[in-house]
Amino acid sequence: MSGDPTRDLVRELASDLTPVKPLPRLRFVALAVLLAWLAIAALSIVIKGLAPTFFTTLAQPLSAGGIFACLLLGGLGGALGALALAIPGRERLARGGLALCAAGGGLAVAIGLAIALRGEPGAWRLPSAGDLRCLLIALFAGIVPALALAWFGGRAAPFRPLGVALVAAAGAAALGGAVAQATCAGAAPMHLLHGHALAPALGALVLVLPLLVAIRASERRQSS
Amino acid sequence: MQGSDGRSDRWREWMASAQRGDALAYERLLEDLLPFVRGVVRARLGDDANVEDVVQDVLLAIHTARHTFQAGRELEPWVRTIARNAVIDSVRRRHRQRARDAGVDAAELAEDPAARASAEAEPLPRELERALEQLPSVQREAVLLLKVHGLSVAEAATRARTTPGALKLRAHRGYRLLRDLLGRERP
Repeated sequence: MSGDPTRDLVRELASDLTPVKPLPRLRFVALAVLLAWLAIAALSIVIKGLAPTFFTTLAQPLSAGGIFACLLLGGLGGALGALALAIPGRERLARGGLALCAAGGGLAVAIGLAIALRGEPGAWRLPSAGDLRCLLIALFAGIVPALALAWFGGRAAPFRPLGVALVAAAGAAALGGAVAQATCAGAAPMHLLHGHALAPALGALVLVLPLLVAIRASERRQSS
Repeated sequence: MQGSDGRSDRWREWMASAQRGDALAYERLLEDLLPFVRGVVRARLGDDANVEDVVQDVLLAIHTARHTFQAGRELEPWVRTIARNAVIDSVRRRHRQRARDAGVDAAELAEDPAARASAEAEPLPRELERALEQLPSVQREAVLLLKVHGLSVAEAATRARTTPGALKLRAHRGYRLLRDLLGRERP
C-alpha cells in the first residue's frame, strides 16, 4: 500500500489484468450488417419479385421510390448510430447516424403523408390487414440486422443500452421497411404510408424490448 | 503538438499491449492517464470532495471497457467519454443517496418505529441473499457495506480495514459475479 488509494487501485487493476479480445472494427460490423440486409433483400426479391414500378419511381421523390430511398438511408443511419453509440469515443459518428436515421424515417413518413394528401379525399383509413402484412414483412426482414446490432451492443456493454436498443430497433425496421417497399406491388397511397413508411416507428416500439433483452444477454455471456 | 502526438501514440501502444495482457504497459498507461482523467473529472465536478472517488470509478470503468478500444484509434476521446459517463453515474448515485438519506431523516423525525424500520432495513430479496452467500467473503463484505448499509467508500474501506481503491475493486468484482449469478438463476 502506498498511502495513495488511486495509485493502489492502479496497481490492483494491473495485477487483475487478463488478455481481452478487442471488439471487431466498427466498419466491419457495419459492412456485415449491410451484407446481411442485402442477402435478405435478394432472398425477398427471389421469393416475391421486385415491385413492377420500382425502377421507374426511384427518380421521383414523392413516390414509392422516394420512400424506399428514405427508409434505406434511415436504416443505414440507424445501424451506424447504434454501433457507434455502443462504444465510447464515437459520439460524432453516433450523432450523425442518429440524425440520418431520424431524417430518413421522418422523410419517409412525410412523403407517405404527401402522397396520401394528393390522393382521393375519402381514401384516408385505418391500417388494413394488407398494411399489417407488409409491416410484419418489414419486421422479419429487419430481424437479422437487429440481432447483429444487439450482439455488438452486448459485447460492447454500452453505458446506455436502452438508447442502443432503440436506435438499433428503428434502424433495423427501416432496413426491413425498405425490403417491404421494394418487393410490394401495392401502390395505394394509404398502404405506402401505413404498410411501409411507418415501419421504423413501429419497429422502434415492437423491437426495442426484445433487443434490450438480447443486449443484456450478450453482455452477461461476455462478462462470464 | 509533438508532445501531444507522442502521448497519443504511447497511450495507443500501451493500450494495445494491455489488451494482450501486458500488466506493466497497463500500469504505465493508467499512471500516465491519471492527470488527464483528473482534469476531465474536475472540469465537470469542480473542486468537489468526491473528485478522487470518481477518478477511481473511471479507472474501474476503463478496466471493464478495455476490450472496446479499437486499435489505431485515438485513446483520448475514448477515455473522455468513459470519464464523462462515470461523472454522470456518480452524480446520479449521490442524488439517490441524498433522497434515501432524506427518507430516513423524515422517518426519524416522525419518530414512527415502523416507518423507520422500513426505511433503514428493507429485507433483501431471497434470490439476492442466496447469490450474496456465494460471493467470496471480501467481495460480499464490500457489496454489503456499500450497497446495503449505504456507507461511503472511505467509511466502508475503514470498516473492512483496506484501502478505498481495493474496496472498490472488490465491490466491482462482486457486482460482476452477482450479475452472473442472478442472470443464471433467472431463465
